[in-house]
Amino acid sequence: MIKKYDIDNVTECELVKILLEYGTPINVIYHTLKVSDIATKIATALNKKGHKLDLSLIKRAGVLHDIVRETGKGHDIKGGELVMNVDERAGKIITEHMVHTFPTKIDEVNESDLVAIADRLTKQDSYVGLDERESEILSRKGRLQTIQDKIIKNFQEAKDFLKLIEEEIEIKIDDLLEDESTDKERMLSEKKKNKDYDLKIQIIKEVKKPGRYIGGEVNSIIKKNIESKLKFGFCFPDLYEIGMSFTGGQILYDAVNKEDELYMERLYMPDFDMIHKLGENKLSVFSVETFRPLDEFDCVGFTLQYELLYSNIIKMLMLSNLEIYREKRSDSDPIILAGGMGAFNPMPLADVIDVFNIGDGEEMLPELLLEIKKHKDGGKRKDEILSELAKIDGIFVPSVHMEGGKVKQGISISPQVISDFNEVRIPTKPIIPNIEIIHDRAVIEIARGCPRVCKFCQANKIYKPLRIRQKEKILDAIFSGDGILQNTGYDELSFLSLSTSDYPKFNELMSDIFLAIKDKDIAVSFPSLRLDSFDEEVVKKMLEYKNTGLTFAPEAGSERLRKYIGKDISDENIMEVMERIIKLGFRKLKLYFMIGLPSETEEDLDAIVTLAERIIKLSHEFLPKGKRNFTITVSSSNFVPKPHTPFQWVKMNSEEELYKKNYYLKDKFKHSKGIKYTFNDTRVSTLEGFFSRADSRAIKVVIEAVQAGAIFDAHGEHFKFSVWDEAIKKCGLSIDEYNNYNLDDELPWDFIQTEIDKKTLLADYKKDEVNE
Amino acid sequence: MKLIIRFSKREHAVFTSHLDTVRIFIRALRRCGVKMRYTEGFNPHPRVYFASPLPLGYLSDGEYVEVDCDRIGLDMGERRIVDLRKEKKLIEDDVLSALRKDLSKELPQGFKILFLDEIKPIKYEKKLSKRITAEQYKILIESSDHNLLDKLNEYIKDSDREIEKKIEKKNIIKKIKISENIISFNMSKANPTDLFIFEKPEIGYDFEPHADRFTLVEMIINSSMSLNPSVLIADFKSVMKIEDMTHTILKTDSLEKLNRKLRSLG
Repeated sequence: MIKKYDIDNVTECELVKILLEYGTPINVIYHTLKVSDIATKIATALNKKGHKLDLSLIKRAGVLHDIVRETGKGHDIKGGELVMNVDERAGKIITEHMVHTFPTKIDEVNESDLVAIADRLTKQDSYVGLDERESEILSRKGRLQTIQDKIIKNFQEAKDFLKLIEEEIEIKIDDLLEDESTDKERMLSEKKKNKDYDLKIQIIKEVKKPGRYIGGEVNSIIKKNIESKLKFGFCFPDLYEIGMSFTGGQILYDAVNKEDELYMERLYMPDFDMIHKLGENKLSVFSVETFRPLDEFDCVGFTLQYELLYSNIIKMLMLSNLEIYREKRSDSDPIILAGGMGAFNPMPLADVIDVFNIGDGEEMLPELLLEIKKHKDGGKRKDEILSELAKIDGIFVPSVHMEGGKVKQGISISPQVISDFNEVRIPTKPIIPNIEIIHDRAVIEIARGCPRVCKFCQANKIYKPLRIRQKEKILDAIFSGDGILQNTGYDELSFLSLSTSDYPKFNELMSDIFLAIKDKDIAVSFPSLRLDSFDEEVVKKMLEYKNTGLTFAPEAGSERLRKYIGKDISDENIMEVMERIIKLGFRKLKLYFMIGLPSETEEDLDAIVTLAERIIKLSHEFLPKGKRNFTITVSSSNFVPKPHTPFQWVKMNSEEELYKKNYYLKDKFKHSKGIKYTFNDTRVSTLEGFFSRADSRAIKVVIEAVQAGAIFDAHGEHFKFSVWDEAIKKCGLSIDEYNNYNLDDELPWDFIQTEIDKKTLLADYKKDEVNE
Repeated sequence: MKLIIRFSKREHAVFTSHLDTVRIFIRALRRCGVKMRYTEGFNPHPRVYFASPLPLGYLSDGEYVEVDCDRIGLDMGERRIVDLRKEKKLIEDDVLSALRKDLSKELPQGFKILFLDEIKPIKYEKKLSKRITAEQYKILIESSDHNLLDKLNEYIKDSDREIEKKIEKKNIIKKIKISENIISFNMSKANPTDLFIFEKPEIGYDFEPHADRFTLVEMIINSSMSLNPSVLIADFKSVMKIEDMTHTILKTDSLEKLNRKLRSLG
């Protein structure tokens, strides 16, 4: 028995509770809800054409139709009788839902027909359509042929009836019910299609943070007919929570997947425990979207963010049973691409990667992949495809462009630049991770490039020209109905560019943003805010949200050295800014400096100490005794010369020199009240220096080190310098191998022609130089 | 106004931790246009309250969350805003049903919404997590051991049986008496329907050859951190020396005590 309900006013929730009370299994309830949703949707469409279908009746019968859901026969009759006692009309529909005669004229359509058809369109709790349902039911074992025939006949009647409905509502049922077939079911079935599904689930259960490997995130994409597409595996050579914080990855995901013929999936470096499990079970690194193994993609692409991730790249290939050297890989192995900042000196990976994309990726990558697809479909071999790709500007193909470990004479490659920064798509529907990641917030890129001229900075030399996104485009990308806030539900917003506050009319942009978020419970965070150009109004607003600290990067302690490195701010200018921020109420300040800059002397180091202490002293003028809580963190990083900068020839400080300088400062700051001093691992910087200006011989070192156990070198706790030191020696190189360039040397990356030519770089290097 | 939502965590959602679940819900609610109320104070957060945290790896059909909100915006053909502050009567059913569908769509794979209802806020009512006194579970055990039912019986019948639990922080070992924490305990051979419930339809359709391997345990257990089903199963496995055995845990409901009776929270 079920209890009586108010037929006219019963709610969906009450009906569900009736099912729960009766003991209907919950997976069945999800099915009945879906049937009710689908029947209601079709009925609403029919009512718009003048039919008068009772939606409440459809809801009641739809939700209750499988109330008695036993595996045996007769659940329709039993269920119907049960409901008949309290709701005669709904009960009758339930009785009829299995053995159903569909009408042949649309005028005769009634509520019962819609519940019956909706039930046949639904598998578990997803819309799948009649064809799939039919083949699924027919595939079940142990049925008599006569019954199979009956099922086929019944489905034919259902199909005819559905045609009638489609004609009447003038829309295909697939289109009407598009929302009802969720990608979520496909996510599961696509994963199951790839081999070793159960084994992969088993090992995911056993490792920490399983959410890193399982996928299924909102806004991730599972395409239909994947087999017909070019499958591209985007590899981030670090953990999921770091890779997912990388906005570039989201940009490429959007740009590649907008192409119907391409399908981009994501792969991340597995953590130690997962690496162990993969090895134990002889599994490759696999994608989060469909569990596809890395070696079964048509193409894979690595993003080169940082020199110390080279070891992870090699490890990912090793784990996936691919040969490291491109020459040893076979025709059936994936074509391996790479791009990102690191591609501006591709030499260390030139013997591994098949194709480098140099410059902006969001237009080039899809184009490149479509080109590969075209040639693949045309039956071309890998080497033929590669020679085709080598013709495209901005594409570096080592097998074509190199000879004997060096780039051939006369080869010159200009980086790709997107045609119109303001026309390019802004990814406003980024994947929302299920687990917490490093930067878990909405990010909008507001500019690419930087107007500053700091000589040590590689980014501002290679992201050229400087491009500014129009204010309207930014606001639209954030706040429109299809904007990033609506599509993600994030409560924190941040901006991407090399230097946020250099955005022209920054204050105007910010006041528009602050106005728009006024009652939306959204916090705004500003990375890379530069204090020499800051605006009080904006900074005041920031204080309202979060009383966080401010960051300021003078980079060098003395005026002279700042002028030389292209960061020309006077001490007085700095002090003025400091006075303003202290008055505004900030109590925490972070100062960034570089150690080991060319021409640096002890005086320059002392100037860092003097500057920090002057600021503390200044704060005392405004803060009464006992309330002097202004603190400074002085952070120093070790200067590493980078290709394509005016400092590309500079001899980097040795590990010992850097170590001495860091400890010199540490000692000086020992007694400074209110100042904390932190610095980077000098051995990490030294290795970074080795690889940043390396040539093609350096790959041997990486392979050697990985074989000796080096991975996750960018994560301090796993960095083992001795392993690298050993590897460098074993390969017959020295740590200073790439630290002795002469001004007239041919540099390994010279063939990449950035916007600033070598002569200009040299002139910049010499400018403001002081010879002691 | 207050909404109560009962949801399931199944399939791949079992890999989502409690804290991540909270974050996922808050974002999904925002995307659905639910204007949540915030707590007062220095660090306001949305008034979204979950029932007890579910351990990683458990399936569940009995998760609950309460949401304090002012307004919901729904995608019902055209976007429609329902201002709950202005509506005196209860929200109409089609609005709630549309929000249930919207929210289901906005949650990651494996999260499913069973129902979504409006409740009248009661003053000084305890938070959801405080109201739960017991939890109901189904555990599917797969084993080649033919005497599994007998062994389970022997294990559970011993009214003095205790489980030792290490409390890492305090570095002490606590002894928990099983009989004091289990309210009801039932076991039987599993039937095909159970296999569907535990997401094993392949076996459900082709049950006979496997029929002997599966045992179903149904139990209601005190809601406390000291004893949970996986601790119990692990102890059973080691005490009774069963080697070949795997299990899946499904939380079927969260229960509160009302008029001395346990009843479903929803």
